[in-house]
Amino acid sequence: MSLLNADEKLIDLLDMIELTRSPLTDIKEFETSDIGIVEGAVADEDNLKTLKDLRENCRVLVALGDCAVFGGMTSLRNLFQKEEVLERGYVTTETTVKGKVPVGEEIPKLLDSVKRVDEVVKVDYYVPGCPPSAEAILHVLLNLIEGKDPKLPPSMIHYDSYVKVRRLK
Amino acid sequence: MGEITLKVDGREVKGREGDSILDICKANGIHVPTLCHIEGLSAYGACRLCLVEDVKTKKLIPACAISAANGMEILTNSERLRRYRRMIVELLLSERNHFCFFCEKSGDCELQSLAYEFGIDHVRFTSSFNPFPIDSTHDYIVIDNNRCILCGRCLRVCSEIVGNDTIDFVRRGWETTINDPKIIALKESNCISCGACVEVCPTGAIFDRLSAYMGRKEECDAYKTVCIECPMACDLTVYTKDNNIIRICGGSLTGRYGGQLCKRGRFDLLFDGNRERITRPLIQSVEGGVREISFSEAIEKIVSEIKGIKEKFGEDSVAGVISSRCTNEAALIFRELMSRVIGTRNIFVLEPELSLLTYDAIIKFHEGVHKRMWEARSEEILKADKLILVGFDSSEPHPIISSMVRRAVNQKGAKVVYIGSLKKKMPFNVDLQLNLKRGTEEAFFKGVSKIIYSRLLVDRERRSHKEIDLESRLVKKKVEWVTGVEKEKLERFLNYIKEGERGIVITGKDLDPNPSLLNSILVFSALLGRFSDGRLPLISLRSGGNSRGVLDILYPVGVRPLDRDLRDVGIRAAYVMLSDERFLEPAVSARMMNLDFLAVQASFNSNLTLLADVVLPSLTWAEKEGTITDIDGNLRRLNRVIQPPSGLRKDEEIMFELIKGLKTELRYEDLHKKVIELYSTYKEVS
Repeated sequence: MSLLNADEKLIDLLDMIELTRSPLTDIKEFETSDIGIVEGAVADEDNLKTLKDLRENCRVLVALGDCAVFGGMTSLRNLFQKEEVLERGYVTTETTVKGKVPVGEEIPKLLDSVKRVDEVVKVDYYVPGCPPSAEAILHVLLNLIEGKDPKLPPSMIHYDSYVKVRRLK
Repeated sequence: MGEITLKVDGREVKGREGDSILDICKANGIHVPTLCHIEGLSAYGACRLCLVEDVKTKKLIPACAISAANGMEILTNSERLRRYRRMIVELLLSERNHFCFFCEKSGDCELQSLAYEFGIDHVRFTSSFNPFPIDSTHDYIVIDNNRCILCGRCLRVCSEIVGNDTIDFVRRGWETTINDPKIIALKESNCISCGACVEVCPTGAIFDRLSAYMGRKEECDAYKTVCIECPMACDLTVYTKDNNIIRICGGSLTGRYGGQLCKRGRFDLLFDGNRERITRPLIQSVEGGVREISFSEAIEKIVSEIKGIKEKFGEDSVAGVISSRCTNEAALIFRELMSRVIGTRNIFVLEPELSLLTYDAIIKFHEGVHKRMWEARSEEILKADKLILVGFDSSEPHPIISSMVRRAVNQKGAKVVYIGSLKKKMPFNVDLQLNLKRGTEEAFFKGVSKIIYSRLLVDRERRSHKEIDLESRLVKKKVEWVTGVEKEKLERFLNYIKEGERGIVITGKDLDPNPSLLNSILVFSALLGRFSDGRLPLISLRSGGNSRGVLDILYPVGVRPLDRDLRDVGIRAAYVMLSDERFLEPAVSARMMNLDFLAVQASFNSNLTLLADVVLPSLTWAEKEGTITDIDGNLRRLNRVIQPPSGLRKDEEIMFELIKGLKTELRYEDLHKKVIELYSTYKEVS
């Protein structure tokens, strides 16, 4: 979503790239691409399979956002046991009556702990932020396309939501 | 100390012998990243971020903890250092929960800004996800050990500046947490809620509930002002956002009183609670209801009532009552209004009787004995060898003085003598406790002074030893008999106050308001010696924020404590200038119950404003501007921090309207001149 803040620059960007897969189509099988961008941390077996598949099918992998880079909010469940978390989410929630933890073959199993992306596969470039600013995302993408080093300068790195500071004094 | 020269990053810089490498780098504008270091506290060397490279030995040394030597060659930003520093920050980030996105400190966090500085876009190490305890029992302070980096700033400030030693490192290795050493909750500990740990914490490990998530410091406007909760007048840095006070910080750790604040200054000033603010002039109408009126109507009403009563019953039937939280300027115009325009001799101040009597005793004492013999500056506590506390109440009223006493005891090894008829527990080691019989303090000090005085005479060899010995023994016997102090304790006390030792007397509020007792304490302190600036080794603790200033201004026209029913002394009308008092003693309104006319100027509704015929709104501490006089006699500037609600006026303006209404020849220019004169009587304005 943060990428949309790039506004009119998105049009120029679209001229340079071809989107093979995106959340719009939600197809989780990949064809070989140049750049793969991954958001979010690895929480269940399905995530694990998708991520490995993505890594095999792209030349450069970019981890985007705090969850992918650091584990983020998703990884806070690592402070507890998996069973505790499921119990809290499905059974002991204040608004739940007679809840139970769902099981079934089509439901992907939770991993014991949430992993950030580079704990599972090799990551080439990182864009932290919750969310990263459009400026930072564009910096990485445009430099990759042009074949330059896309590493973020310190001024573009931030770990939380990007607040433009009003300096009155 | 000699000058030394060293080479930093190929540049020649100069410093003084004994300076740390970091000090020299800072003084020369060379940036060295730091985390556990903070100016004003001891060097600690915990974080290793300030490592610099010694060119000759190739060793890495912490710049904060190592003194520079002549001829040293230092690199502060080599590739090797950059690699290590990055590694340190990454290790810190992965050790505990350092996810910024829901942290209170994000944006103001020193760890975060270092990570930005080093361009850390990911961490190479896996996070540990080992939950640490969060202590949220305290009313104001939350300790979240998950965000702690064990820099030790909080426990250093608690020990070195506050002298309270509440928190310390508990457990070992990577299980270390910040806690009370007895591993009890912060609420149950000896924490005095001063919040010094909150201010120095570089991460979100210690934060205060009231300011949390209200806004980052850099989004706020910062104002410097002073606290008027007590006469210490501590430095405040107030952060405001959209005309709301978000957080209050103290001054620099190297500054006045170590930049300390207490619970009242840091937390209680933040919110006015549920007190009802008065924003419009109010009048008690004939039907019995309260109704809003305009300023000019209110002034008119007060003027006509006061005029009427003055004509009927004489000038002294009108009384002026002033709070000791008013600024000097307001007090000065109040004095002119009361004594020159109305002409009354009945001026009262809302201060305890003891405070006024002490002031009176000091004035009379220095008129009689020696010119300019004021009380000691409060910093002298830190330099004293012997602290003699008389009727001292350590807990609520003067936390900063208490912590100075603790520092003198803990750091300088000063000895504390407590003299009083009440048995009280002090938050520091009391070396000698002299429990006197009730009401015998005066006899004690007179006796002890006599003994010291005769000792002085021995030294000057005007009289024979034998004669004086005999006399001293008689006096000692008498003191023991009258006050009930044991012989050995009295001997120890007399040994303590030998010549050459720096003793200082601190008087608190648990003292009888008795002029001759106060005088005997003054004589005793004068015998202890005098400071180089001619001041007496005595500090008397008052309560009101500007009590010294208000008394300085009102003493010449005669001022009394509000200790009797005003009607009983023939007073028919009163004008009461309050400020934003947090608590008004019920006795205050009880003593004004039977007046014909009562006008009250206040910021908040209280039992007194309910009683008043006319109520005028006044500004709070954050909206006022002016000066106050602190406990040491320095003039301190109170700055406007937030804009007052529209239509509110300064105390001075309201009183000037009254003066105009009462139609006297007093011109505004004259008043203005008086204010200027007031400024010139003080040397320092800070």
